[in-house]
Amino acid sequence: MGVGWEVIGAIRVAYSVKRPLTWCLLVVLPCLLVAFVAVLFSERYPLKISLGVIVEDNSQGTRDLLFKLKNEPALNVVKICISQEECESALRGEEVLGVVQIPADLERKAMRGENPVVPLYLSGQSLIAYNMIEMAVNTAVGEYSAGVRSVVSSAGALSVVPPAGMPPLKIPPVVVPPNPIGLQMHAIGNPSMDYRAYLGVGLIAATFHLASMVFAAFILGTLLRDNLVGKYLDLLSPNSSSSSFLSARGGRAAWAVAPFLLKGGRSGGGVKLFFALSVPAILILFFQHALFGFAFHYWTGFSFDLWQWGILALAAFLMIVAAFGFCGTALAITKDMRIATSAGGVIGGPAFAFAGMAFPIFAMPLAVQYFAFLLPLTHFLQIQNAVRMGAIALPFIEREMLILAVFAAVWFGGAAWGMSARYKR
Amino acid sequence: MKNIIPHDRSSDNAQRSARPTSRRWRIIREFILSLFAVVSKNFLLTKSAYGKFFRDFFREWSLFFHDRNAVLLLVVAVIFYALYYPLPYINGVAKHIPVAVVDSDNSVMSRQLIQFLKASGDLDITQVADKNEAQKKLAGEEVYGFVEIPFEFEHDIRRGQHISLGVFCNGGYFMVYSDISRAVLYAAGTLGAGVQIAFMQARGVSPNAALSLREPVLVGTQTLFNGAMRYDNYVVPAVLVVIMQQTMVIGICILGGARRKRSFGATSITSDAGLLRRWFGRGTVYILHYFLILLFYLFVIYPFFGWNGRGKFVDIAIFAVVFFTACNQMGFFFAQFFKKKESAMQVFLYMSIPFLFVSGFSYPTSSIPQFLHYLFFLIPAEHAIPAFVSIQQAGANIWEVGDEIVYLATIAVIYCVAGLGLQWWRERV
Repeated sequence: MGVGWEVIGAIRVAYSVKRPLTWCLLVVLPCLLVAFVAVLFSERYPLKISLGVIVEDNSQGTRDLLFKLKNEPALNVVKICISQEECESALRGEEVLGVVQIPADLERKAMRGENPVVPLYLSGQSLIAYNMIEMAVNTAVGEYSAGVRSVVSSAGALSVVPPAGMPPLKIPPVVVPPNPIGLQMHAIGNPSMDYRAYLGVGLIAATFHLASMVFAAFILGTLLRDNLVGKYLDLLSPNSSSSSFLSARGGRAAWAVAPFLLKGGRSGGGVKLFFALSVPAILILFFQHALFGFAFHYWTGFSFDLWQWGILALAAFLMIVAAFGFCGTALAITKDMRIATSAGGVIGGPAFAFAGMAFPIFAMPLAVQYFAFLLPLTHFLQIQNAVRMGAIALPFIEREMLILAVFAAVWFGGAAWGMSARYKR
Repeated sequence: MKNIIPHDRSSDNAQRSARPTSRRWRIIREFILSLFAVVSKNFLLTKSAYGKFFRDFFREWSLFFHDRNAVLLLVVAVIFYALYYPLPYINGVAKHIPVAVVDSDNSVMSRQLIQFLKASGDLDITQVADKNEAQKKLAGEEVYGFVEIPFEFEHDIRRGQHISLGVFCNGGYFMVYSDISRAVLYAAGTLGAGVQIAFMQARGVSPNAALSLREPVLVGTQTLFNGAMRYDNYVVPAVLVVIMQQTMVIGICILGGARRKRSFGATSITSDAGLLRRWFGRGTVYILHYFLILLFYLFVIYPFFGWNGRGKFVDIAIFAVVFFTACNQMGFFFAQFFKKKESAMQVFLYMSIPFLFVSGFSYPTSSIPQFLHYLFFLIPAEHAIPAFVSIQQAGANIWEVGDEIVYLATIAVIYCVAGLGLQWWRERV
């Protein structure tokens, strides 16, 4: 049963702890990024967004509305300005992300039915804050408006004014019906509109998509860059010292399956070497992604069934294999680690922007839609979204999974074929 | 005349030169290098301190075009990224969002509501037979949401009952969710307002009085700096800042920072110079080079994509000098830790996401835990993104972003002192 122990010897050398950059790129940086995402979205959704208020008088109406604005949990009134210029400057300098101008005589005009307008100035440079502020200010003004309405309608202030000389009419209070049509908003797959379940899990997937590409270029390209192919092929020969060392001690239980998978090859040890370098990286990246992705879902309150976890795990695995294979193929074609890394960076770096989570794919130009289709991340994110919708999304998941599987087979197969040709003495 | 093209190429370079180089590229490179040589010979080759400084400066600049990786990163990548990254957002806003409507009432009022939804302009409405079909379409991403109009919708409204419209959206796409909910809110609000006014009019209230009673105080929203709410205007300026920082830092690491011996065959150029001359002479090149890149962004990329640009040149220039100096010093500091050229690229590629998000351009700064801001304080992009967006997009002047400029200057000084100290110590050891 000594066949294949030499592969483990090669793995031990390639993934030696004496090469800190290997572990930095494979484990440390992805973990740090996941930690960063977890901390970044720890508040679940934006709260206490900075708001400026221009106050033109000190009337009761102004104080009431200001009080309501201060009580909105999404808002944090950080600046009370007495002039428009003051708040304008704060808005330009991003000290505040929105400005409410409470006009003079607000209450008096409202009582007289003049429909005063409360101007709300929002920065279009912060779209998330824009929506939150607009909603919160509308709520605050709506509450204030309801108070005014009840006073006005009970006093009958807007009723018919009697002609001159006529006695005043006794008019019953005007009944203002509430808005008869309400909305029940349901965010399917993310009911609490949690940013961790939207941007958080998406960014974690994007991190491992990028990590797979960069690490593929690194681990497969180091041998070419440092002219170590011969040394590794020596390690892979059955008579090498490392294999006999490992065979003598029975090896590590964790690697026990590897030799059976990694036997033989197209160009001697080429395929063996490619798999020896790739498989551990893919498994480590997959386990990290699975662990962190699942932990994040659990943290955000999803209660998935086993089949849903299984689908997510399979999709994550295929995405990592496809992304790894892409950079492996790029390396096989260019034979240059730097160019392969650059290719990984160019494709994997902004992949999140192309994958359709931030900006919908249907709104992108047609050519970009095709490009987005070619990214494994796009399909993984779509599967992740669909899984949250339950069994009804299964046909869609099947289709996306098939596409991911084809990508994984093509890119990884291409990388195996190409790199085995490159790994020659 | 000294030949500024080095002859003592290292093995790395020799390996590269063995590859076939295209004739066109060779001609361009020779032209650029000879241009540098002429400038260097006629104007700058003096024995004064300034002359030496500028000689180092121009020689370093010529290296950008001498090393293929440097050209790719410092010239090609900064231009390519600026053209490539905005492509998904080129349409600016998401129009015609596919939305299904399940009309279980099929009354005049429900059809009116559908007309209002269609009139919003943002939605592409498809009517489906039942909720099950709508759910299937939502799960298959054929539609991004659906509206369910309940049975006896009109009947209940006319009886004065409160009706709830069910709006189901894909919660994985927040932007689309916001657009759909806004459009449905407006459509339902318009229909509801009509009902309210009709109710009051029936009880003898004049139309004007009914209108003002319905909503005594209105909110008038005005969008500033990005009136059309274009996504590219919102995202890309921040990304450009990260591109400039990342490429400069990685570029400096690839070109060996302020080291005496560098691995791409340029050892004879400035390796004989003193540490300060090497540090600042080489460093100034990057600042000037990126200043040209920034001009390219402002005067070519911005008009090409039609983005808003309100920044005044003086404010942008002051910002650029401080920002590029901070990036430059950061690059020289980190260049001492990377032995291999591509290691910096591999490490810094990972860091783009946190550098972009921690600045608060996307997620409001107030909602980001404060300690993350402390942790990333020494990253120039953290301060440069809000400063650049404020100046260029919102038209702020340099005083309005004074805090960020001071932070950037502080970062530059910290990296400069730490980097120079470390380099000096390494060279002595």
